[in-house]
Amino acid sequence: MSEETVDTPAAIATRGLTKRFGRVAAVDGLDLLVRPGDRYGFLGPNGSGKTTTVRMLLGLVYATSGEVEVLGHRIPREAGAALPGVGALVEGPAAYPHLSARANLRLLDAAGPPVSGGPLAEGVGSRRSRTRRIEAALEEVGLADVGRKPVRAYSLGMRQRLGLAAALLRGPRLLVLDEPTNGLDPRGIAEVRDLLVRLNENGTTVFLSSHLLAEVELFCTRVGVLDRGRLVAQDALDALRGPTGRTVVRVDDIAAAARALGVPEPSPGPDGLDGADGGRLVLDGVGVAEATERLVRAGIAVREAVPERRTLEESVLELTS
Amino acid sequence: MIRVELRKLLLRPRTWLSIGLLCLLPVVVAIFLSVTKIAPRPGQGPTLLAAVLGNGALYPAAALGIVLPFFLPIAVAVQAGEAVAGEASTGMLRYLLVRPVGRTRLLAAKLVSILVYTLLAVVAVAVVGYVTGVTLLGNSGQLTTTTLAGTTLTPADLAWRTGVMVLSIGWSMVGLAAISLFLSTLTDSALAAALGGLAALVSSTVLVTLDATVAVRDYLPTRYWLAWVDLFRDPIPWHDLRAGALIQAGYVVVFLGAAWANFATRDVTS
Amino acid sequence: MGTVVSSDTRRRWLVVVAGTAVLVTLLGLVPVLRSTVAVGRTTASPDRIVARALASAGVAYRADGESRGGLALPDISGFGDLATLLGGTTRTRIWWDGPRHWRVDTVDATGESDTYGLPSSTTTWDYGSRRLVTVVGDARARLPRADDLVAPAAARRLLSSVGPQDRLSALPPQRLDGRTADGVRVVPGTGGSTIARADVWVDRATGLPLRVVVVGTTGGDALVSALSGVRVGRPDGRVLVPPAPPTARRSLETAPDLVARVAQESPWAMPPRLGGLDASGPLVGGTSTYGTGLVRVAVLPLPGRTARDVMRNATSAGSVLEEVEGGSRVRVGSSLLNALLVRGDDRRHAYVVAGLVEPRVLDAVAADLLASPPPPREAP
Repeated sequence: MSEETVDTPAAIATRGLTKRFGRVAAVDGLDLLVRPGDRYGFLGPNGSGKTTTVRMLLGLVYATSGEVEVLGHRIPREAGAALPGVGALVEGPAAYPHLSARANLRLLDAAGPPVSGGPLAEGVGSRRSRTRRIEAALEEVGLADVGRKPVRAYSLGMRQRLGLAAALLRGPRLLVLDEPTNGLDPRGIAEVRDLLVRLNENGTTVFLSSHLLAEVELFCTRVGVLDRGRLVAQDALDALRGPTGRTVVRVDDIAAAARALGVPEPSPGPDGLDGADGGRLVLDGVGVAEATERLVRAGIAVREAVPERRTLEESVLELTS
Repeated sequence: MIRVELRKLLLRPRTWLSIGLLCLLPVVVAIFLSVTKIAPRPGQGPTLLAAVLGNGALYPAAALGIVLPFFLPIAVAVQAGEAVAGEASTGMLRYLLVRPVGRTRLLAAKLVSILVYTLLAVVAVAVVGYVTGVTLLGNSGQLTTTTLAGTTLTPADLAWRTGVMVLSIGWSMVGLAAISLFLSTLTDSALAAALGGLAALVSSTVLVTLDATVAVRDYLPTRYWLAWVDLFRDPIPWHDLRAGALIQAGYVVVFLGAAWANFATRDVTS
Repeated sequence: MGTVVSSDTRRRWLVVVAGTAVLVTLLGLVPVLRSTVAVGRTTASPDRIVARALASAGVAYRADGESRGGLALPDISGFGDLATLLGGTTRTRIWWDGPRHWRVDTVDATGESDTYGLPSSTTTWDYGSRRLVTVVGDARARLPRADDLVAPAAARRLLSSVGPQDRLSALPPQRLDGRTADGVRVVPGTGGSTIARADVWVDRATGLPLRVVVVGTTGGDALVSALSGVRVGRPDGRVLVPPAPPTARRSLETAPDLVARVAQESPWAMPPRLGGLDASGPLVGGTSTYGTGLVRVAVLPLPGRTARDVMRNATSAGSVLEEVEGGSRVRVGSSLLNALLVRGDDRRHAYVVAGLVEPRVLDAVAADLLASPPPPREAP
């Protein structure tokens, strides 16, 4: 822990985190930093080492080298101190199929240490509050009226919700979620997103590992991009989607506009003429103000002139190509 | 954690199904015996079975004799092989460890749960054996039971001897349980762990019978498995029973230690 | 593959391996060390050791016994458990209060057969057949029983037959099962014996023979019998009382086995000398022993019908019937114990000739018997 973060240690911090399986480095020199309160999107294609990283964060898999700190505690040495504050969903949910959702949560809750901080009797992990916490967690994920049906009879989506409920059971300060919307329908996905936003607003840090760009783009404020075991970018979402320095103008007469701005007329295509909407010109090294001024001066009607922004997809493709 | 494991054990239908099956065989044997009145010649067939005709109170011992060589070890090996590998294959292992449950604690709880299961199974077989014995085979007219030495056992004698037998048979499974538990931490396949445990058992059974293994024979896990018969001799020779209990304890120490060394720092990738 | 917890893993395995090593050492090495505890030299001469062993019949003790025979005898019906007794491992439990008050249990995995020695009878309880058999009196001859192979009994029988021509020598004393034992070795002095040597270890404190090893001339231990867990002192009297199970079949007999029955009713007067061997003792009753020291041959005349049955049983057990001068014979035997079934052409004279001797000794005895059949015995 460094001097200036004594008060609020990073939710997750790794330094040079590396995991080799034989000769292959599944994760290679990762320096993650997730600050408290972040909605961190951990993005990468399948097989890029996301799950291995998540497992190392949780002390399931041991790093070949490097350091992990979660909620200010070293992993794996102090996992016992860190993990009670963490709720996790790793590589799909799991449950005892012959038991009901409630019985599953009851067993899982009882398995851990009895109390995780707080006043003994009513602590977040206390035995006495167990039933209340189970009901609350089921309520949150929309499984409140699931009854006594054994998990065996659940749909994939219901299991996913149960997994989330298990992660929420102890009011974690940090949620580590690996592909949490797998198997959910669009409505379910939206509900989960709303839930995560609500939790985050109440102070829970969310670390969301996903290969779905849209999911990350809609929810996260910070993004780390993993490619073949290496972290190729880690920044605020807006920074990754930031202006490219180019300007896009939309005009009716594309040829005139090109002449006025002194650029070659683009050939018809995605960037060129497109029907009723008029033409689109992408300008390098010309600001919005200057472009507008020059076009107006030439008597060309400007429908739109904006700084060009990349989509997250574009930047990820660019980073991982 | 131990309480959780026990609750899991008791809530699982398979626990009761396997114990039910264990009890079934002695019942079937009792039915055949009571219908045909043909007991195997002494020295052939399961131990003590010859004595139970008209002497149902001895049937708990005979029932355990029937399940001991085969069914009980299979049940225990499956249960123990399941312990860690089963959690791994359902994916619950990662959630338990993240809960967090200490890995050593998990192993200890698993071992206790296996012990309770074994005891439960043995007691169930003994109780079912007693009930079927008394109802199907009856208490012989004089209500006497004799030891292998021909001396008479009072009901109190028989009761405490049967009690010690139940404990000693239960404990004799513990070495096998520890071996299977160790294998269970090596693999994510519960079946492989159980089969591995049974392979160890079969090897031991084969080696015990060879004269060539005389140097190591006394340390094999199944060496004293039949020592419980000594409880029905008079006077009781305690030597083998004591040695058997110690050997089992040795296997528990070694293989639980190995399970601990392997599992506590193993990557959990299931 | 190294990880951040590799040192932990190594440390843990080290603990486990070291712990296992300690355990194995304790289990395996301690008995070895205990047996090599320095044993004081003995001052007793071999003769003295033998004398103490022979006088030990009155030493009361309780112990577990194990005898292992390496004699591959065919299982001939009528000869009871002889083949198992001499060719396998027999586990016994012994309570000994004296030569006329003892109990020896023969124990196997699923049952037991217990023999109670009483002043005028022996009673055997067999769990397998649920039979309680009492044999009254002492048979002059009978087949060996399990209690004959218990180390002290076997040692006394062996040592009592040692003659002046057999050589005795002292063996270095040993620790056996926590007791100091003086060893004595017997080597047959005259030719013809199948015994190469016999070693007997005798408890220094009590004179009780603790271990007997008989080695045959063909090599290998032919018979090993040893006591373990010896506790000197009178056993609990209640243990020595034969049981009275209500459902047992009881019988009272005067002859324990085929040999004893045949010996009672033998019709022939045996000659004083056979095959170059003199009779060992007075020729009373049917069975006679010839020879001295360890070279002894027992001759048991068989009634014609019994002889036919026994010979048929022997041949069906794999032995070969040979025609010889004056009759036919079947050779049965192993490295240590040899026997010859002989039948004269008159079909009335038939014998079992047996001993711990080479076959040629038996052949000579048999040839004499066939050449000059003994006359009928005069009524006593």
